[in-house]
Amino acid sequence: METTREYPVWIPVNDHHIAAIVTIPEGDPRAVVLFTTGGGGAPRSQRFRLWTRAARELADRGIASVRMEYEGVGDSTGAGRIGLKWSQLPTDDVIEVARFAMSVTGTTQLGMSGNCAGARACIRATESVPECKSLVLFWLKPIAAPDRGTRRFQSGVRLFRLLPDTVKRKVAKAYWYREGRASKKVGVENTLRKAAATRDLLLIETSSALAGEIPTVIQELERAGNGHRVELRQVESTSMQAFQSPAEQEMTVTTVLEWFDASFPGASGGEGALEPGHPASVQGSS
Amino acid sequence: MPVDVARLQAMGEITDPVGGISERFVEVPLRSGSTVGVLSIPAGSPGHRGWVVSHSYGPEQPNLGSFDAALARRLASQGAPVLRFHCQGYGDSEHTDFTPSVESHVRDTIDAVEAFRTLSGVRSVGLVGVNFGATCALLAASEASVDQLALISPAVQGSRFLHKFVRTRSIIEVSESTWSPDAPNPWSVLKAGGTVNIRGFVLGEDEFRSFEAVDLRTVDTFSGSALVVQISVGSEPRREITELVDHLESSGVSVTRATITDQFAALLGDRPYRRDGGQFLEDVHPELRGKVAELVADWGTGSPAPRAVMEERT
Repeated sequence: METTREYPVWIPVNDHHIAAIVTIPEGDPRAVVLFTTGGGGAPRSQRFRLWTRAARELADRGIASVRMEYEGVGDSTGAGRIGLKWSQLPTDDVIEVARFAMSVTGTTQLGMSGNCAGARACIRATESVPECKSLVLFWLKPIAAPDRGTRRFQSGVRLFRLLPDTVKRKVAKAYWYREGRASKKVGVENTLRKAAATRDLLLIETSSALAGEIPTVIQELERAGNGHRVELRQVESTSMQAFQSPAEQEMTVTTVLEWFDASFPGASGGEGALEPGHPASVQGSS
Repeated sequence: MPVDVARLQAMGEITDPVGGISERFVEVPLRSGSTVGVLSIPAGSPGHRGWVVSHSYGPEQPNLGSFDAALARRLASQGAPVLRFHCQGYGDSEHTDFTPSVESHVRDTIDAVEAFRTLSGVRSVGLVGVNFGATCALLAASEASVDQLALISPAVQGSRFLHKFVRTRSIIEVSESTWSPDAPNPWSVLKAGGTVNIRGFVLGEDEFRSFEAVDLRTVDTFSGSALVVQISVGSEPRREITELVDHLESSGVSVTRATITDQFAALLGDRPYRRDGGQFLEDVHPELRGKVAELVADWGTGSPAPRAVMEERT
């Protein structure tokens, strides 16, 4: 905290105000990173204060940040209701906060990070915020469908589990395709390709079927090699809820620091880079 | 382009987040370090009484953040300035490596009341809290020299509060099929001095001992009046709440007891967002928050509260 300054702010978006903390490093920022959360009502500091820690450590590396909470969460105003479909995500909140962050920090070098619905909102927001140069997305889980909680869907899942692996893969692919088409032809696959075309992209996923086609798409992007870093790290998570083990928490902060530090001009030299054998790199696809 | 500090500072204040109030982010100095708070300020001239919101423990703090904000905003809309803040070790507080304890919660609450008196200029301060926030409010009341307490679903026994977390962990383990009959009982591990991970929140022997020592039915109380609110699915009085009320009354505190029934009462302090059956995650507590905030605000300002939920004890 000695070298950083933190400014709590309310940012107007549509009919509500988003509460956020802007962290400023000493000197002109190299870049600014937006941190957002999932759809479960986590505050701007993220569960276990992960974004507070990451923001202050990024500031030590010359990178500013803004950590935000959605409408109706914490000190934000408005109603607590978050859409899960690709077309209903709180993308407006992310876009407005990203623009505000670039404006007040005086940089157009933007990074974004979030988990679950927040990860999906970030990747959707990149279409409106082309300044975004780097993404770190935790548990994008594109197969975590909005209808997952319904009885019909649960019955389908029980049947799905009984299928042989080869059939499972075909069903998952068909489901992925349907999800892509259902969201106004945006499509998870196309979104990933577009996002990776002009920026660094790091995805952290569980090794469950919820990752859908992500491994295949990322492998294709890696092979194509467009000059940007593209990487998938699959972790053996002990929990379906994010960040519920101390090891996951450490991995999250370290990953964010290392990735964004290397994404923007003036990198500090890789302090905090992941060592071989780190939980986050055990099942890297590259 | 340089950082626009003037704009950042100007946006630390908001007008009319709900009817007739403004809010301002403030720095709150605590003995444990600095932290961030929000001061809710009523329009017009504020009354002589103000409130400080004492937040709950561990994973409950973020889960009840909107609850605390709703309480603060409602009280402010009734004419009382209100401070809500992050204890050290939570949210935006200064020290990222600080592990909060029962003792640090209570000490920070006492310090926040002192800071609030300076910030707001009020003479008389009340404390309001939900679950373990209510527990800390009562534990801090005497030293903080408050004269009103609104205890919303207080955790009367620290050990029972802690046990609830451990139970939650067990449910998660079973639901994820990682439970093994050979695995040690986490509650036994904790009691034996071991360390357990409760939904990412690590608890050890020190926490167990300090929670075990908390029993609001035996603590020294304060001089003033208290609102004790039971939140439950049914309206049957809970024994530990009754015993707490008896203890407060026998200590000379003027107590008003109320019960609010809510179908989601069991989820209070848990993650409040649930699927609405369709394509949205929705906060399940807005109705409960509204009822509680109305009750506390009416009681705090001396307005009559709905008879259906309130039973005068003195």
